Amino acid sequence: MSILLNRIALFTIIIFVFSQSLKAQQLKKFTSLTADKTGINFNNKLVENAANNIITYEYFYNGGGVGAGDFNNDGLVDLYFTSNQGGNKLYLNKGNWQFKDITAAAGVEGRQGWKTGVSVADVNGDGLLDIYVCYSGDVAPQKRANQLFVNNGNLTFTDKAKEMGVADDGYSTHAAFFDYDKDGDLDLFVVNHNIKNLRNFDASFVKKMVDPDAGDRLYENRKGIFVNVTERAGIISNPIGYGLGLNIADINNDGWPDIYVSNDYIEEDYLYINNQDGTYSEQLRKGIGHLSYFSMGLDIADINNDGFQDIFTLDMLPQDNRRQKLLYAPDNYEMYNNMLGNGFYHQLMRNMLQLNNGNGSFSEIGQLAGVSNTDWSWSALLADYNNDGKKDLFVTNGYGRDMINRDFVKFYANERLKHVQGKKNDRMFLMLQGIQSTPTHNFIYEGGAQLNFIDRSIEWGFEENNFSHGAIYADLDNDGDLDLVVNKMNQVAGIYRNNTVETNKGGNYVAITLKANSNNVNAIGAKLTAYCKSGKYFVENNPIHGFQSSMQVPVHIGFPDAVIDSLVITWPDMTETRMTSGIISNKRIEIVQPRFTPKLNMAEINQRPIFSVIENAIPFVHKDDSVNDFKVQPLLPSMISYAGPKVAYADLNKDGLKDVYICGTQQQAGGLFLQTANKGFVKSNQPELNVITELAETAAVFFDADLDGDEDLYIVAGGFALANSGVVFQDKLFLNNKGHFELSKELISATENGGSCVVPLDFDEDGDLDLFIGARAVSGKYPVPAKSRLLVNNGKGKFTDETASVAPAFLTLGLVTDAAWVKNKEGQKNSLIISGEWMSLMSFNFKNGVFTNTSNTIFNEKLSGWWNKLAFADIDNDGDLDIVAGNWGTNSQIKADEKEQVKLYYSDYDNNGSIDPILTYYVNGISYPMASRDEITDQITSMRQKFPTYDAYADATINEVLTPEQIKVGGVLTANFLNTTWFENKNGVYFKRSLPVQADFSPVYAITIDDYNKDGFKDILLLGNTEKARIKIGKIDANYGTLLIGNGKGDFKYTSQSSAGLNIKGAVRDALQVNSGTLLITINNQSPLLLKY
Amino acid sequence: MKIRFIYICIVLNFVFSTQLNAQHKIISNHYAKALKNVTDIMVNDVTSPVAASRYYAYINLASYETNAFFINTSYPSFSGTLNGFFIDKSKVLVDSFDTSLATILSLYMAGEKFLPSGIELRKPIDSIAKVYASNAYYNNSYQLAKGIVEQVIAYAKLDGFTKLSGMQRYTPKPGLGFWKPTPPVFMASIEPNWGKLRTFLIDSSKQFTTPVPIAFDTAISSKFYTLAKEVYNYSKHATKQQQDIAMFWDCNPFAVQQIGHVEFGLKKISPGGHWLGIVGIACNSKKLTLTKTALVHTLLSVTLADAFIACWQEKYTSDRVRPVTVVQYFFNPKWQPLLQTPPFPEYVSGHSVASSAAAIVLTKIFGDGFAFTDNTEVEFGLPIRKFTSFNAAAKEASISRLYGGIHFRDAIEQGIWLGDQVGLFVNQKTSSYIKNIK
Repeated sequence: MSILLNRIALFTIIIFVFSQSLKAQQLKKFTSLTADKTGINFNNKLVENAANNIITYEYFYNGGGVGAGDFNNDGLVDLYFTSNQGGNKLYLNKGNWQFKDITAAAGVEGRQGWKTGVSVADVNGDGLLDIYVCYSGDVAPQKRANQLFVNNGNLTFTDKAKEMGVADDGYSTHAAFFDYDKDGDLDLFVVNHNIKNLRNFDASFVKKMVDPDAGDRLYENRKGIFVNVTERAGIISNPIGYGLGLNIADINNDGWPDIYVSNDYIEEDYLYINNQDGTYSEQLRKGIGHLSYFSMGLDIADINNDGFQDIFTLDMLPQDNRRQKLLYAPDNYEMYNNMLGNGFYHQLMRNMLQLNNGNGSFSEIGQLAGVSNTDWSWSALLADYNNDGKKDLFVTNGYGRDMINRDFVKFYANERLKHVQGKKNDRMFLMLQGIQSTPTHNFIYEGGAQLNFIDRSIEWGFEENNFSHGAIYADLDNDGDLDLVVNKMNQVAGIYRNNTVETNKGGNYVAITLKANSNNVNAIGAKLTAYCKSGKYFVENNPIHGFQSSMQVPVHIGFPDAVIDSLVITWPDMTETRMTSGIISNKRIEIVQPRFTPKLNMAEINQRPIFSVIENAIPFVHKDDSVNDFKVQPLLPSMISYAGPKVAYADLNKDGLKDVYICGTQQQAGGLFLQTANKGFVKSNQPELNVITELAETAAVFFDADLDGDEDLYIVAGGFALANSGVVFQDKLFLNNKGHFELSKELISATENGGSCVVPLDFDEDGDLDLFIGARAVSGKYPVPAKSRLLVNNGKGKFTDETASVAPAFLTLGLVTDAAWVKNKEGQKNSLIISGEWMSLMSFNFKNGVFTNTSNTIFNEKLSGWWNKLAFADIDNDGDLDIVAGNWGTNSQIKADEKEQVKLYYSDYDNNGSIDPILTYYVNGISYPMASRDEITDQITSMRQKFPTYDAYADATINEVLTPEQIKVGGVLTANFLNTTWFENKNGVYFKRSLPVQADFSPVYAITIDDYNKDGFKDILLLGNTEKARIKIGKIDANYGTLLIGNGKGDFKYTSQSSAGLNIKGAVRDALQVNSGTLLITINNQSPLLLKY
Repeated sequence: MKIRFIYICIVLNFVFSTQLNAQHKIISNHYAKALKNVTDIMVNDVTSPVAASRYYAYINLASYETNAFFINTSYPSFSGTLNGFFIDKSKVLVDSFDTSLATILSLYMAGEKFLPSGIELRKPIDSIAKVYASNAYYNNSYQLAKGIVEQVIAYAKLDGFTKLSGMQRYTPKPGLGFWKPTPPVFMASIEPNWGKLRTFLIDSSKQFTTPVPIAFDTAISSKFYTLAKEVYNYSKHATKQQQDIAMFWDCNPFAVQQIGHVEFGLKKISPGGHWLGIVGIACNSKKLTLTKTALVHTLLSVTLADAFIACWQEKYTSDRVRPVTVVQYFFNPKWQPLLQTPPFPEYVSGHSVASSAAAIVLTKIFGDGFAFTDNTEVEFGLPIRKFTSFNAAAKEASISRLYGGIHFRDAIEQGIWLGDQVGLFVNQKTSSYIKNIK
């Protein structure tokens, strides 16, 4: 009986599981089709041996490409695959997912040798698609000559590379055909790489050398013959350009095709801007703040449909914690500085999404968007896979062996080499075979509404672990959604059917084939914009997408609306076709360029930007050369130093204009600048102020300390990494004696920790101004809370530290960054509002002789963040003061919310006299320490015994790193909210509101509020960035001055950089209004700027 | 309370721990073999030369102190002799035990406690336990070793090492004459505060002041230019023999190899490890007793530790640039030295200081003209070399840095001088120990 029951139960379970899995399968957006269904059995088989391996050829595991195009003009997209060592394959699409291998008859197998990229294009303009195949490898030049298979029209091809001048024999990765000089035919750009190991980048001279075989080449098409114009056109051809990726797009929207080349290793990527005269200028640094270090593939597309092309480059940062811990080399500041010192640029190992701001600048937001970590990645394909108008992202990845596994580098390689000693010939090969091989799954992300991408890899059917390289998207079954094709290593190629249309799960689409009236038959470089009710959707017609891959296929535009209202096509010759009728959605249409089309009016709409920037308005260049804080506390999450310059202001000479004091550093005295009506800011000669000390000036304020009717100056002393520990922090009060600032004879009592901010306040209502001095970190002891202070004025400018009696809570506030003394409710007394790192916003009120914590009544919720800055204004026009608070933002690896909090465990765990801060954050749902094994063992030597290998540490959480006793004894700080935001004042209580996603592009350190666009409503200007973070976090520099336009009701809209007129680079540290219509902006290690509006 | 010497056997090579050689008394070369196990772990862990010298000093000291626990007349304890070192005998369990067994156990147990991967030494300790499980003296021997090791650890805890990870790391100074990170991997300069550690025998790291190095100068007529030129010339014209010498004394614990994305470290013993190998050879050829062997190893290793502390004090005082930076600047931007440049300032040469100090002490013990065949580097794929004396070996080790392109001549000469001072001072301070070895 019971057995029977069990059986029934089991049976039911089986049925249940089966039906569940069937259901799940049906729900997946993509279905992988097998070779027996499609007939595509191409496999990029690699045979490793002593002669051919990753050491003899370092791009051994880079894989092959995919080419797509309709070679027989039957309306179906055919497929071509390159094989590194074997024969390439051409498959004819017979419809209904049936493909036929016609390689042999077509004669497109290619030669013996190392085959890499493929480019499909109608090179000779005869209406038939040709195939260009790239070659590389450590072989003789003739074996590296690229091939051009010209389509004879009967599905046979003839290699005409030599006679047409495109048999390039460099070490080619990929190539692109496009009309660079707009003469109506296709020219050719070839990306090459070096096969020699030239990583000796201390020698920056290599950058200036020329190596045509390793350098990239540009060929101009002159009546069917291609002529090498590399040098004349200004293309860099040095030996360290390890070019892996290539895209053509009009980056600066001038109508001319620009070129982006992604380079592996130390050499930066190239962003070639077309000079419109047959030459290019490499201008990457002009607008990009940092980029991928080991750039691999890339894609360019307009991810936010603003009409500007965004750039996405791939690198090799793993997604999961384990592989990060196993593969990530420790932060090496020496190497990083060496890179910069030798003329190379800021490069970090992760994918970078460069959002094109439309004014020449790019905001790198890969981490905010959630696409920065996809392991060793090759193809990036930005396209609309669900026809909702927003571009989605497909990424292929996988590397044959984990060459950079830290255990291999440090332990295993040496051991294995010793083990195989004596077998001289294949010793290295034997060693290599011991390196682990880890297949990984590809990534697919759905494009979100807030510049975000949502990981759908598993749900959409890409759970298989493999090694994937080249890839293309194309609608292979002409059903209206984009299918995917992937070239894999040692595995049959992946054919992924998109089920969007089949399952009715998306919006609508239009697939457009363009026919231009030139030899550039397929109108490469044309731009298409579809205007719908929901917005505009922009695509540029460029066939080069995907690693070593290309597709000359119809342009696919998805949109959520039922119909397109109008479609605008800008042809390569800059003429324009506007269609407002005849566009039917969910159709494939062909548009032939009319013989006479109106020339596009390229004259820019001359809209006056809101701000105009005045440089060098103040004769002061900030000089901050602090010690690297990480040399003091290697596990510090972010530097405390480089926090200036802060500015104090007052109208000293009563001329109605604000004068300013700009704080000094350990290398530079601060400066007092008097504003005059006609001469601007003039430096005031102040001998007593002009003193450099070993302390930095972290804050300053003008106020009347001695009640004599003029403004005196108080300067806060600080500094984190002080050479001389045991230094005493001595703030200074300078009394104004008829415009001369003289050090007050009444010394301010010194403290053991530096301050960060100062607020004058008459808390005791005795008619004089007392001082709150906020303090952040104790020098060298982050994150032990520094003691903030309350200094009480005796009415004559003598200040006494009465913190212990009047405000004992100030001694343990935490890491205070800013404060203000404000009245948050009419009829009530002022509150002291305080922000800080690892703190929620706090408020204190002076009641019954002491400052009491009133945070719980004044703030509606506890939002612990890395708050840097506070600003106050009546944002929603309801008569009370609201708060805008600058936070860390969400554009870093570290994210936080209530469920997944960032934590900082700290104590002197090893009793060596230094505080060990261990930061943890969530990766895929589990909280892990940020520090790598090398970093944690460097700070806490005894950890070496706990974690003798990288593997031993790879899965460690805080509970493995610290004992329960250590956790109990030490401190823990948490953060659950990192967004910059504003707080609405409702009857004296603050409620969190939200700001547009652009507010979270960078840490915000300066905020100003005014009606900048003069529409009667207050707007918010956010400024910040950080350039001195850990290398693993890197520069966060996506804020160029973020202007949020308000509607008076508390809603804000980001306004583009060009309409704001803002392109502020660097780490902004203070901003204030110096006149009506003028802002002063200070930037670390730069000159201040004035912004007029 | 009677010390019994019994016939015992011991497992020395834990990696191949199956061969037990029963009925064999522990003799001097067991000591060297046990120490070799410790060295192997240090090599695998990638231990810097300075850290290695410190580990060797404490591990050998623990072993010798265990051995000398009762034989305090002719082979006295270092208690009271080494700076800050006192053994509290009352804290150690005392009953019948086997001195030799305890000596070897102590060596392993100290290694286990000190080394990051010291846990590996549990294997030989457990193997010994297994073999002696029925031995009446085993437990007591183990307890003795444990008690001494604990006291040595307590001694080590106060030498300042644990404070190092809390001190400020080194930041390269601007100016071409100062040390710069060097290729291929531009590592941060290691252990900038090592000179602050407590020394063992010398008074302090600053006891002997080396003259300031020849000043950095870009003038072609300058002394510095001549120094740089000499390094550059050797790289072009060194004889095969000179190149062999450079390779033989490389002693780089982690030479990074880069081939494309393939990167790994090739490991060798440190300079200290090399000299401990040599002293093992010497003890063996002289067939010294276990007690004498432990004593000689301890003397040598505390000398090396002091030599490195004094050397590091000077390195971060003068903070001088390495030849690779200078030669690339003056002569050839593509130039690479024969040996990989280690990641710390150039002046004075650590190998010169350590080798010279070692040679002075070993010469005093074994006599001048002590010829030996050095096979310590064979396992790293290098040949054996024969030397007529310790001094000859030290001189060769020193000049090898010039041939290898990682030091200037004055750093070698002054390094030898500093090593000599350390060695002579050690000899003078330990004469009562040394006289008993002969």
